[in-house]
Amino acid sequence: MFGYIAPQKCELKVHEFETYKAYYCGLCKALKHEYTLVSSSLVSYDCAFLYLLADSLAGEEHSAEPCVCLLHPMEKRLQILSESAAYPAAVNVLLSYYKMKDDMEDGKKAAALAAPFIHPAFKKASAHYPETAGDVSMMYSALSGIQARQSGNVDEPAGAFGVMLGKIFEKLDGERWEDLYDVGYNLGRWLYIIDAADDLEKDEKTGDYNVFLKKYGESRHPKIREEAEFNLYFSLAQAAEAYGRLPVLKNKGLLDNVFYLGLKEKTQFILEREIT
Amino acid sequence: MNPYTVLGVSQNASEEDIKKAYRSLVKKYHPDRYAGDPKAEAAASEKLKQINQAYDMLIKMRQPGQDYSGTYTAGSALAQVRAAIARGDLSTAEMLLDAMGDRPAEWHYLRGVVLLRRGWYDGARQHFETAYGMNPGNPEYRQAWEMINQTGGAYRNVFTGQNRALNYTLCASCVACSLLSCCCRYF
Repeated sequence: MFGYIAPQKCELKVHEFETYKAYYCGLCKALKHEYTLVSSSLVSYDCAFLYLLADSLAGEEHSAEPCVCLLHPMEKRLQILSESAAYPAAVNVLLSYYKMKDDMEDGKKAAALAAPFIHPAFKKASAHYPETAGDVSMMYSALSGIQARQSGNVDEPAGAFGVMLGKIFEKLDGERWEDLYDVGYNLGRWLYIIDAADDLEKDEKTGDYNVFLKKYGESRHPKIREEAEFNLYFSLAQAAEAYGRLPVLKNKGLLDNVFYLGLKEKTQFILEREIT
Repeated sequence: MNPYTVLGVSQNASEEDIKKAYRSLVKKYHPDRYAGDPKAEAAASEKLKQINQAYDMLIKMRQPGQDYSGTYTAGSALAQVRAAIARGDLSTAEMLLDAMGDRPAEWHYLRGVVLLRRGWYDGARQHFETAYGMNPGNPEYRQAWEMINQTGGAYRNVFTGQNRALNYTLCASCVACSLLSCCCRYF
């Protein structure tokens, strides 16, 4: 994923912000432990959010433990370690693998360097969660088909990405899978579209596929903002509505912040900056 | 085919249980979830056919006095689309819509409802706009057009500062149902 899912920091209480960071560090720890991935550049904020949601639905209390971070040796950091971390860590690996493949096809050198580390981790994650690995692989092939056809219909790629995330989210809780699917589907739609909006100018320069450029020809077209805005906020409204149906057992303030403030702030920011 | 086994409900399941199981299965085997894998997609749509048949059988069995099949054949093609949407059978609704040459405002409205339920919001908005533009006096089309254009704004305005706990019900599926005046949540 792309790292857009985050809380609005200024509205968080201090302890909520600490908790949020502790989930991020906990996920990083799980990646190291399970997949011996040491580069924290691989830890995705979106998967840290998945961990936060998973653990908040599981509800068991876990105290945050102090940890040492190689990247921030002088800072005191906290991490939350729980069983809920295993699945988000695997998702993080699976998505990093496809991102790496994408980057390699685009000829990025850093991606080729990371490949020997990610590949064994990918195999292990796929063995642990074969169904999710299948879902992710299927959706990436659907997405590359859409890209190959140079589709100018925003529903096609955003819908495909949404379905993938819906299937990832629905596995957090067998009983509430429908509500979780709705949360994931709508967040996935939002992620795909915000990434496309964020990359408009870059894609115009490089000539990479961008659904809005296909439809409107140029990044400055006045219709793009209106269309992106509608799709982003409508998807968020649906995600927030589905989230409201979930029985959240802890971290409610933090999760509420993400759904009702953080995602909205990010949307405003990208719309103002990229498309004026 | 044993319809109870197909839907995974017991013989003394209530109508509400049957509907719930049916909705859950329709969602699980929706072909959209298998896009990109033609084999799995075909298997899922075959399964969906069985599920629809099983559901029709059980509901028909439970309503002895009513000629259930009549509602399908009696109405126009667009009424059949409405019936399919109300059952949550979006694939059939789409097939019927695709097959129609004549595309009045109601066609666009129903296409919009199907897209909304599938989560294809951009297309849904375009079709609601067309339906509303063709016939602005129709309250159904106006309601759909207003819902799709106002939902995002409501989300943006409701949760500011202390208001974030406000009860919030702007779910597309529920709205799509209320647009078709049925009260259940399907896909």
